[in-house]
Amino acid sequence: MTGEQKREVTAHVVRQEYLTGDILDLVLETPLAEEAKPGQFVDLYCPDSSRLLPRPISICDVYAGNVRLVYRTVGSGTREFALLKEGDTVRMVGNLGNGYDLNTAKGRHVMAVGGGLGIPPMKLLMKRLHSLEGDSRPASLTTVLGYRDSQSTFLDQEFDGYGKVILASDDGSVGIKGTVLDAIREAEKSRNERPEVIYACGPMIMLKAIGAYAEEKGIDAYISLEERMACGVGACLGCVVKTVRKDGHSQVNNARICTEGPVFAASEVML
Amino acid sequence: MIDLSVELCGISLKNPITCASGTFGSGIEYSEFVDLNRLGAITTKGVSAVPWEGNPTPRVTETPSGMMNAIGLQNPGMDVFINRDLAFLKDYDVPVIVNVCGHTVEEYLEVAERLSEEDGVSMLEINVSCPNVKEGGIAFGTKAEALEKVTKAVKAVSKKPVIMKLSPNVTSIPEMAKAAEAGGADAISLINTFTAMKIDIYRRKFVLANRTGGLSGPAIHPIAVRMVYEAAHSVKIPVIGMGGVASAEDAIEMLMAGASVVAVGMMNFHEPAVCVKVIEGIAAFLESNRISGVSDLIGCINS
Ligand SMILES: Cc1cc2nc3c(=O)[nH]c(=O)nc-3n(C[C@H](O)[C@H](O)[C@H](O)COP(=O)(O)OP(=O)(O)OC[C@H]3O[C@@H](n4cnc5c(N)ncnc54)[C@H](O)[C@@H]3O)c2cc1C
Ligand SMILES: Cc1cc2nc3c(=O)[nH]c(=O)nc-3n(C[C@H](O)[C@H](O)[C@H](O)COP(=O)(O)O)c2cc1C
Ligand code: FES
Repeated sequence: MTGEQKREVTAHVVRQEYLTGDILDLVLETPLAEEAKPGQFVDLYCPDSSRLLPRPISICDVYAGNVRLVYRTVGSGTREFALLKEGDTVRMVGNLGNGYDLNTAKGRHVMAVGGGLGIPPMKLLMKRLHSLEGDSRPASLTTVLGYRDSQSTFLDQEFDGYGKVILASDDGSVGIKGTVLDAIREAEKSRNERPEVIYACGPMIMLKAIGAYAEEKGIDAYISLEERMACGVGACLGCVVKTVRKDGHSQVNNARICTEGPVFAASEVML
Repeated sequence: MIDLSVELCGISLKNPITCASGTFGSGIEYSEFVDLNRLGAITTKGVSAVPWEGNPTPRVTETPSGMMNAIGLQNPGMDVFINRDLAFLKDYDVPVIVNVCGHTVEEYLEVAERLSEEDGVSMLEINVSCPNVKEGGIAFGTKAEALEKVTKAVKAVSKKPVIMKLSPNVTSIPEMAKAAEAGGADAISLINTFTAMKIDIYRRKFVLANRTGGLSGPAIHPIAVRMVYEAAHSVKIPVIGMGGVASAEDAIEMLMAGASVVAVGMMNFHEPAVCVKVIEGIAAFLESNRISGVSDLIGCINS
């Protein structure tokens, strides 16, 4: 328990670089690295103290006491983070959320699906799944990554060591033309490949499609959700998602994405 | 030597700092960051008779030096609250102020009566000022006559001291403070959030699903100080001051404005251990200014 306790830390910037015109790769030195699970996130505080709420960012990878975050500059907070450089510090809280349950991959054909900024958490997930041994090993690993176009690809080279990688892009300039779901159906049609469990993170429209596909095929799907957050630790009830069953916390049909999630069984949530 | 303790409604608090309702859950979540025993009191999220769903999302959004929320008082209802949250808090040596909400006077009374019978409850704070629920009490909280009536009714059923939580969305704070006092309130707390609105100009949509939300945080602090001052100078019962407290200095300002106890709200989201920082800062202020106790600060403005 103590090892998994959430806490506030001041992390040191090891390095930061651009992966594309607006996507950054930030490496932070922090003891939170030791306990991080794939699918969990950290809450980063903005250096400018007029921006008070923390920014949730998924853990992309961890190694040797470092946490790696990959994020897009979308607004004022992430634009501030983009200025961080080696030697700077940043205040953050972690590790937050449940993360993916690796037991659900045991002996099964696994497919990890990332769309856009949903790709980063797939990295640590696949790395961990790939390193499982003996009985806990998945039968196979496939990664499906969706991009807008060939200009916007990032992290696409980093999944090669973990199994098959399928790319898709809206305009067909990289991988197959279409959505990640088109890529999944195509693999099924042409090579008769069908996963037994799907892990997905990405835009809501993609997650809905994955949920529908999984239901149609009777596959287990675990999806990672986003919502506007305030506390990030389960106290404010700002970040809920409608659930099929009554949630344990408030006894209504609302689970906290920051605490019971961000990863949910697709069959348990109503998007 | 420094004496941080204060008395509120006959109950002794280790120090004048509590968390503001709804920003700290029931303490369970923040117990990973803060030793709850350090707080003067724990104020819980609003509790109703039966579970409440709350509003659709988005429920929260950031604003300059603050935030807006429209949670809509999602809570598990008083049975689960008693069996889980209160049971959890029994292991701590800290007074518990339970925030009460309801749709109707009857619901307030049902919750107030039941909770005031629980050993683990030190005081009740009656939220008649939530701007985010249609019948969330705001109707009682913005009309003096209705406020006095509901205060009387709650006092009649409660076995514990009753704090009435006031809305800032009124024309006259003194009038509302006096109405609560006339109704027999043991204390008043203020301020709840300001009704506010934010529009996404690119999507031409309201940012919050509820359209409006309550504004809180440092952005409202100077208004809160003024309102706490007005309230404290119009009634004899003690005042719990809140609104944008981020530091010991902010809390001391509230004390000097006349608050006996100060609550820290949304800044918990910015700094999970902010309450402890505020408490330690008050102690340091007293020491460096050779002031023997917090009581010497309350309402001590030179004219
Ligand atoms: C669990 C989780 C994991 C995430 N992981 C990543 C990631 O790995 N990489 C990445 O690029 N982005 C990720 N996001 C989205 C990221 O949090 C937002 O892009 C970021 O908060 C934007 O901040 P800003 O100040 O630049 O934008 P602004 O629009 O200026 O932010 C204003 C407010 O809205 C909030 N906000 C804005 N967009 C989002 C959003 N999409 N989701 C939640 N809150 C938002 C901000 O936190 C802030 O409170 C994740 C979000 C969640 C909930
Ligand atoms: C997310 C959130 C939830 C809140 N929930 C409640 C509540 O359940 N009952 C209540 O009386 N006040 C509630 N409030 C109001 C606070 O207790 C407090 O009065 C207000 O936020 C001003 O303090 P602050 O500026 O320090 O946050 C809530 C405020 C926030 C930000
Ligand atoms: S962000 Fe506060 S409960 Fe999830």
